[in-house]
Parts: sequence; structure tokens; C-alpha cells
Amino acid sequence: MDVVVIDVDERSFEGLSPEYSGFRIVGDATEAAVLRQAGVGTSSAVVAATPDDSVNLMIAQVAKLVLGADRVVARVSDPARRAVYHGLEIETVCPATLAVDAVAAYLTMMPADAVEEAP
Amino acid sequence: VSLRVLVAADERTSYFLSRRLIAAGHEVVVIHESEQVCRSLARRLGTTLIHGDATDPRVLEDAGAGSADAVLALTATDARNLAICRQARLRFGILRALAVANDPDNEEVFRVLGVDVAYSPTRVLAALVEQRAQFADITNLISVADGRIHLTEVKILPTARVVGRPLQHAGLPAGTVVAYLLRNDLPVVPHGRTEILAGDRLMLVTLPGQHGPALEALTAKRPEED
Repeated sequence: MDVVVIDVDERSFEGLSPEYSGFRIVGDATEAAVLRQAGVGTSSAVVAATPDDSVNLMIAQVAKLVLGADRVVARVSDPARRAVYHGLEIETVCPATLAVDAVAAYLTMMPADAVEEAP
Repeated sequence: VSLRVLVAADERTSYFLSRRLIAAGHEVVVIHESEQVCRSLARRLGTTLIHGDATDPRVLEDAGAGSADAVLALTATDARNLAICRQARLRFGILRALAVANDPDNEEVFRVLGVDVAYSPTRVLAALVEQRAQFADITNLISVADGRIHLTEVKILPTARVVGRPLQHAGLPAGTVVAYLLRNDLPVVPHGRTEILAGDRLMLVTLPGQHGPALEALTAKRPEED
């Protein structure tokens, strides 16, 4: 699988594992020109996971609706901002919601005696 | 018609734009992230300020987006402008969502994504500079109807072939309209027999096919006389 990483800050690439052999592009992914350069239009998947919800949603919409990317996932930290993007074929992942689900699953799966034994 | 308008922009833009809209009888709500800016604008504008992030749907709701007629997203960040307009249209059903595209390439992106009108100050300035550099006597003022109609101002140089000719014999293609001309800074509504003088500024309305020939007719030089 070929991977292209885009980041505005060159230093971020230092965080890639030494085995990473894919492409690196220094640039602002909210510029359509940068996404085109990265080959988003012909990619099988695009993941937008910057710390900024608006940036991720813009990247996802441009990739999907303008450049015709196949599958698109955006990280959206604020659950309230996700609703309007349903139905636009953009998958959103919310860390807070995932954490809540995980905690809920852990609590409901825990055997009843384990809860009683807890100090 | 009085409109209810939400504005998200930097302090200066918010101030001058709101002042103008309020003077025109519209109701303005300004959204800004800085409490200090909100206090300052509230004092100077006497209008409603909402302290918060305009990309947050809860903040838009507080600002009365449910009953707004238009949203103006004019911040320095295209992603924020897009987020504001998408929320406005998709969640609150506001039909008029206008954004500035700081990156000229994003004009097309915004249109595809249903942000009604988007313009890029960068592109407008760049186009003006390029035109000024090429022809001091031609200024493309604006394109309307998706670029199908051009408004152009042409200054008639003393060396132009058309100087001294009536407008109807200036060699303009059929259908080109000279909406008005400025002569000694006074506007004149011309007719076919109006004589063209050096220094006149003509306001042309052209369709794409006529644009080049019309400009050529007005800027062609008089043949050298021996």
C-alpha cells in the first residue's frame, strides 16, 4: 500500500517510524493544489486527522466532492459538528464518542461480581 | 428589505461592514472569538455581539442562525469560512452563505460545495495588477453572469484611431454597449452620434465573443501620417 503524508510542519515527519517508506509532502492540505499534488483524486482512501475540526472537514469535502476520492474519513473532535456531514458520504470519527463507547462497553461487559468486589 | 445578517470576520472588517449594513437598515449579529473585541465592537456598533467560535453550531444557534437571512464568513482561514457556511446552509437552512476564499483556488471549491458566492480578494488584486501592468488604458472591472458578461473601462488615448469619430462608426462589434462615458470626470450617457474624444473613459458591456474585438477597436492606433 502506497501512503502519502501531508503536514504543514516539516518537523512532524520526525514522528514517522523509521520503517516508513512512503511519500512526504510539506504543505497545507486545505489548498486543493496540495491535495491534487498528493494524488487524492486517484487514491483509494483519504484520512483527515489534524487537530482542527474545520480543517479536517474541509479536506474531506474537497477530497470527496471536488476531487472524487473514493473513501474519506475525517476526525471530528466535537460531536455537535458531525451531524450536518451525514449523508455526504464522509465518514467521521469522533475520539470522544469512541472513548464513551469503549468505557460503556467495558462497564457493561464487566461481570457483576467484579463490580461488587471492587473496593 | 431588512435582512438579518450574521457576520464572522476580523475586528476591522466586522466593524466597517456592520456599520454599513446597519446604516442600510439591516439587523446585524457579529460573532467573534475574543471577548475584548466583542466588548469593543458592541460599544462602537450598538448591535448584538456573540462571543464564541462561529464554526461551532451551538454558537451559531445562540446568534440566531435559525432566523437569519444571510451569513457572511470573512475570516482569514478558508477552512473556517467553509465550516461556517456549511453549518449555516445544511443545519440552519440559510440560503445566502457568502465566504471569502483567501486561496483563489478555493473559489471553485466553495462553489462546488454550495457556498453561494465566494470571491478571493487575492485574485481580484492580482488580476488588477496584471491588467494595469499590461494596459494602463484598460481596466476589467467585473464579470457577471458566471463570467459571461464583462464590464470594462477603456481610456481613449490621444493616439487612438477612434478619436474624433462618432460612437456608431468606432468599429465596435454589434451588441457591444457603451453604458456611459466619463469626460473630464463628468458622466455622459452617449448615443450613436456622440463623438469620441481623447481622454474619455468608456464603460463597455460586452459578451465574450465581442470582448476582444471591442477592446481592439478602441485601442488601435491611428496610422502614422507622413
